[in-house]
Amino acid sequence: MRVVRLGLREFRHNWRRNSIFGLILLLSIGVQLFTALSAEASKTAVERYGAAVFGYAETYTSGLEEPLSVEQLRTFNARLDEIGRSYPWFRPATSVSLSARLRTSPSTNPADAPTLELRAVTPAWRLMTPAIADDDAWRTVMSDQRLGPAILLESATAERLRLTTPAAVTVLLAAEPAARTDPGRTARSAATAAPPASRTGGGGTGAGIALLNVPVFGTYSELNKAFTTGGLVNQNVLGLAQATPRPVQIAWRCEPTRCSDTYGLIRTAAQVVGGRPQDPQRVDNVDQILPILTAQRRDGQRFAAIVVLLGMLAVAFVATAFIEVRAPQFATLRALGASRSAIGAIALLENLFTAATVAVLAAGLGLAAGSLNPDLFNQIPQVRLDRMEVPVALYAQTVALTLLIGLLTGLAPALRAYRSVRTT
Amino acid sequence: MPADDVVVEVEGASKSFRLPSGEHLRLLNGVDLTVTAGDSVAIQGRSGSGKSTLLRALGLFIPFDEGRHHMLGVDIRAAGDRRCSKLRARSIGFVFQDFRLLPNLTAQQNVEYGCLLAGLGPREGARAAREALERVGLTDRARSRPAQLSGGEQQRVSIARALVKRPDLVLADEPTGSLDGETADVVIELLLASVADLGAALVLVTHDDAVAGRCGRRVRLGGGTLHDDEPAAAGGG
Repeated sequence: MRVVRLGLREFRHNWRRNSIFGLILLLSIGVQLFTALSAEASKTAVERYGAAVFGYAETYTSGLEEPLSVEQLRTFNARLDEIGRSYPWFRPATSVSLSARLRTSPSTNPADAPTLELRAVTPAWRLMTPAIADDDAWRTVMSDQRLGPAILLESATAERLRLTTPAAVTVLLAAEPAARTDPGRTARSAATAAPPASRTGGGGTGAGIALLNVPVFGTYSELNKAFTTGGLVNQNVLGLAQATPRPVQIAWRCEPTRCSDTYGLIRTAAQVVGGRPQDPQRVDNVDQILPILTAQRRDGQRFAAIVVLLGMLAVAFVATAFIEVRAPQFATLRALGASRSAIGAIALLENLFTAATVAVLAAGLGLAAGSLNPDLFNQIPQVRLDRMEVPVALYAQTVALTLLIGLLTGLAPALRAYRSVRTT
Repeated sequence: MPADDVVVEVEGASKSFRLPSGEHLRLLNGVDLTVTAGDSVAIQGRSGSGKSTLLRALGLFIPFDEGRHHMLGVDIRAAGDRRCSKLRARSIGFVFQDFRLLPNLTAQQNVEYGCLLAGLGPREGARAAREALERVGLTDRARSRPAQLSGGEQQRVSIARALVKRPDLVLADEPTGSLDGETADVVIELLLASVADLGAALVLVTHDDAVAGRCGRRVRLGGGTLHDDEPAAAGGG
């Protein structure tokens, strides 16, 4: 008890020094707490407002039984667009899977270029895919600076094509590109064309299509093979991709109370082009986004762990350095009757008291910030979190972690203090 | 406490240190010293003769290698650090040449610290500290930090801290070494008088013959052993 009182007294009297490593500890614990709170708030946002993340609760996917021609697809898209405008609660989109070859240099023989499975999507598609909006790679592609088509490759494909760094390539969209494309012309165009461009090799069914200087982003694991473009270009690509009829995938969203007739709207649009939609499959938004949040949480935890580890090292270093400075003071305490173990304990307790103060401060700041603005920690931009239960377990975990750090980082200074008075 | 009560008893004590070269330096070799309550003993000797080492051993910071060392009936060589620390906290007061006041504490807090380690409660300690500062004439400087005090005032605070717990033994290492002559006189007078008031024993290391002369007994450390000097003309205890 006497040692605790002494430790408290020393902690109070050395508050200036202690506040320095307290600040370092607060910063690293703050990062950890913010990361954990962000993950918690984002999860809460998705669980509570999952239906509202993109304005609709129900998501369905379907396909057309028969492939559509270019004209049919254009008409179908236009019809869906029209229906979407008439019914604000109805959001449809289409996508087409494409086969392509990728020329990474003009000298590559198009026939030898590696094959690639791509997916061309309408702009509405990405709004309906929760994963995309939260991905940095997508944001890069969608930034104002980048116009025209771009390709995201999944890790395995990027590795197969040896495209692990961003590159510009020529994409040959055709069933038989070697027979349909003029290699010389493609190579010349690729060398001179500054902006992304596309052209048909011969037009009509089965014609080869070369898209020049298409940026490729490798090692992308989610929604790979999506042929992502700006709105007009995408429509263009969609049209060009339909040189031969291909199956179309349709996805749509609707408000739960009004979902009963949405399949009828799809059928209406399909009837215009003579297509027959397959039975719809319901897709759960929350189920889609939660694994992504889990992955983000894991990444956040890794980052926070590194920050906390660095913070711990800094705290241990600073605290030990302070002990060196305070050696005469400990010698005086020894003269006043403190045993060596008491002096070690005092140094340890000072660290613990500092850690306890930091824990209270961090938890207090987190609670205050959370109560003033519950949305502060929410990382889902589409949702505003207006209330959030206090994650007691998370705060308890943070306090326990801070105290543990205080204990661990206090061991070295305590040992140093213990040794410093060995022969005083 | 009766005047003939033995506070410290050292017989045939020796202490060696290992030098960086690997050789052993025997600083103390067969030291005999008995100090009873009310005694004031001045230890003199040349620099490097082992005075400070002897004082550190008497202060229970380091043990003698050989010989007998008892304090207040406790066999120090058999006692552990905790027991020695307890004895130091309750029964030994220190006065250092460089005062060794804690710089971030006020005079009052410095004196209180001694009480806290001696086992007094906060309120009791505060009262005792106030009284001790009053005895050394520093009531009005109780809230000053060491840097705001003169050398003489700092040493008076140091004396107050050493005596606040009413120790049986006061050890002073060159208590006037950092003070000018006039201040040194005041401080040594205060120290001797305060120790005498308490009936405690004083062991004092000094180079100053005048200071040594005011102690009841003078011993000289040379060749690792203590030799009695002639009794001082003016006794302090």
